[in-house]
Amino acid sequence: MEGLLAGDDAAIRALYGRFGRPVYTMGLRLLGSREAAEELTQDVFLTAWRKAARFDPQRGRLSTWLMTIAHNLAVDRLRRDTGVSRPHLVLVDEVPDRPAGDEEYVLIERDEALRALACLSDAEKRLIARAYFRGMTAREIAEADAIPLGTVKTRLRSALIKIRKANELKEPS
Amino acid sequence: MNCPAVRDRLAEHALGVADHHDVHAIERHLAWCAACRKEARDLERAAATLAFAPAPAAPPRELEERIVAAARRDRPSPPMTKPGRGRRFGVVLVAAALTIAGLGAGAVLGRRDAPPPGKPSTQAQQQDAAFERFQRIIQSAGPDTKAAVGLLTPSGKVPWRGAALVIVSPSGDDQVVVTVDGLPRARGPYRIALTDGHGHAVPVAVVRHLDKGGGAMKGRVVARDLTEYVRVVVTDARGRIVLTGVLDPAPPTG
Repeated sequence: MEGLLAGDDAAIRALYGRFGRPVYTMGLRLLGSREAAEELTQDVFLTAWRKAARFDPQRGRLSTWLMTIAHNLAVDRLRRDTGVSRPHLVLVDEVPDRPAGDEEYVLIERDEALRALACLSDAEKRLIARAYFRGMTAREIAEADAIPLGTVKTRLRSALIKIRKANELKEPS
Repeated sequence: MNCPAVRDRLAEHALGVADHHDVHAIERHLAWCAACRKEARDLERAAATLAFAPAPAAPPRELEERIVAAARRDRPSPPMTKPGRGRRFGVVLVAAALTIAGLGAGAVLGRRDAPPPGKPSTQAQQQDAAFERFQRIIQSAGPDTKAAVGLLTPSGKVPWRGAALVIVSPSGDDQVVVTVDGLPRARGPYRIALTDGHGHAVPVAVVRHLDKGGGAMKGRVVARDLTEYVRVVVTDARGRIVLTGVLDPAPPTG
């Protein structure tokens, strides 16, 4: 982070080496095209570089901070790009690429994410996927699925609490 | 908004899809309620876990070099948060914004400051008058008023540039001024918006007419608190982002 504040090329490369793939993946999954994913990735790392001074390690992990930036920017764009063709998202049952170097870190994170998702019911997984990966609000989900809005909110909340508890189990106290 | 109402919305907020109208009320509540803030942070961490769930896709090899090159081009702007540089840089940015546009700001800032009698006749005079008005707005603002500035940059190697100024007022009527330069007419009209990082946007203007240099200056008064709207996005007619920038606080110039 200090390297980023100093505008250090090596720091930017290190950050990209660790998170370039998940950020690009998020862009591809949410926005549906390589071009959009590349633009998003560049946008995310430039934003991180500009906002490096705002990162507070006391408030959370670097991965959380960076991927939250990535997700917010992606949802921003997703809501603007109405009508864009997006691939069907499969959260689980996809085989990851063979890891190399820093990518092992990403696969560890992915393993943790999949373990957390395994705690969810199918209904919760669908709702989480619609909200997080398709940028749908609870109201939009409720209308699309003909489910009461309160039910959607309750399931989203319970799903995140389950994920939080799963994370707590793997994190040192 | 009280604690139960906020908690009812925290899951959507953590997932980045809270209703546009609720976000400000939620953020204001979280600013003073430690219990809800802790709940919000926990849910946000849980939501961030999801980012790693999809099977990784490999970005093109050249993307890293493009990002490093873009960061090098962007290098003068980020240290705004470092002590000692913010004030000078804020002045430079505002001046840059006006220079880029080459237009007076009276038309876009007229609601708060009545335009001076008699229009400045030359471009330089217009710039001086506009800059003076910017400075006067910032200087005359009370201690609770905040100015934020940012440079707008393209994602590729194109000569497109821009700058933005936001004045956040305790009265609730905030002001936005955005300048662009070098944009190709063929990709217009362009839309300018502020976003808050949670998927919510405030439209600023539609740029339908560019000058010979592809420049324009737009602004509006927004009857809402723009504190959380720290990102400026300019998109072309097809919705593609042509310029983006992040606003950072600028100390008073006076």
